[in-house]
Amino acid sequence: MAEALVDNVDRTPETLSPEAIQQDMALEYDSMVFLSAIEQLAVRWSSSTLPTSPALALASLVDLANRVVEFVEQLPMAKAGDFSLQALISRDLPNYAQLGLQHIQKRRFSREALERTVQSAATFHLISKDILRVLNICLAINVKAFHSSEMRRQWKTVYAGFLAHVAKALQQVDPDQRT
Amino acid sequence: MPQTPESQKVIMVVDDSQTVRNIMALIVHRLGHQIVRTRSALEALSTLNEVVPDLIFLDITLPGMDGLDICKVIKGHPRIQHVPVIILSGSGQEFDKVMGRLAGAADHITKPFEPETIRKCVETYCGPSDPAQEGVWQKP
Repeated sequence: MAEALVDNVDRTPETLSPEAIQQDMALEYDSMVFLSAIEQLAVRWSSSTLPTSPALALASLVDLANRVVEFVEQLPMAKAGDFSLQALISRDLPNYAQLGLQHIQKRRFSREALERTVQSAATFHLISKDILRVLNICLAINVKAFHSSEMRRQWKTVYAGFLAHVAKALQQVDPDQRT
Repeated sequence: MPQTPESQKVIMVVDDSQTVRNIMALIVHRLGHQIVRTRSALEALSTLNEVVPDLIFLDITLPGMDGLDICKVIKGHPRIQHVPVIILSGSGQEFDKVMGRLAGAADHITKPFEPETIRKCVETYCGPSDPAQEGVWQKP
């Protein structure tokens, strides 16, 4: 059975300025391009041709996370609020099991620094959960950048699905496998 | 503005990635068309018993039967063989494109893709979008 069509329920129309509508359209386009690109990074974890080792998974996760951070940095509201990965993690530090400021270099996650932490294989799942938390916050910033509540609702759903897929794929990584 | 029922097309996407299905749904709705989303060969073939879409986007890598085999099934079925099939793949390799053509696909799109690529493809095989939809993603 096919999935239900995207709902077309009429909602109370919002009054948005032409500028806000145009900004939303531009952001929607950029978000689609961005999501299509990071989905291809996430697909690596599901590929049967790649071993699901922590080292490979961590490299892909860092790559993906840095793309997300880079994208969010370009959003007008992030620029206005002087968004940075360092500030984001500092503010939320008690909620991270493993992630710390030592894992950031030049406004991005440092693969080398994260690899040093993940030398203990058991920490892989803890730190990947921490990075997922960062991704969740970043994508929520993207969602908030939309003026239209309908677009916010749609993108919240789309990103939740994406993050659930990433979380599920990361769970399949075998911490004991070495490559 | 939604398109009139006559110009509104039904576009099917077959992809095991929920994210890709969601992106395609957003694009297709923005163009004013309807989308039918399926995640596997089994679902797609079952849905095609009930729905004849105007265009099919088909992922090449699917659980069970792959996209190329589904394409061959579609092209061998008199009721749906006229429906253009666009292969979606994570590889832009010439081999995939040739295999797609041999299976009867009309075209090939490499992931990741831009909405504009999908729009052009939809317009090529389903006709131009409603004028109200024109320039929908043009940046300010």
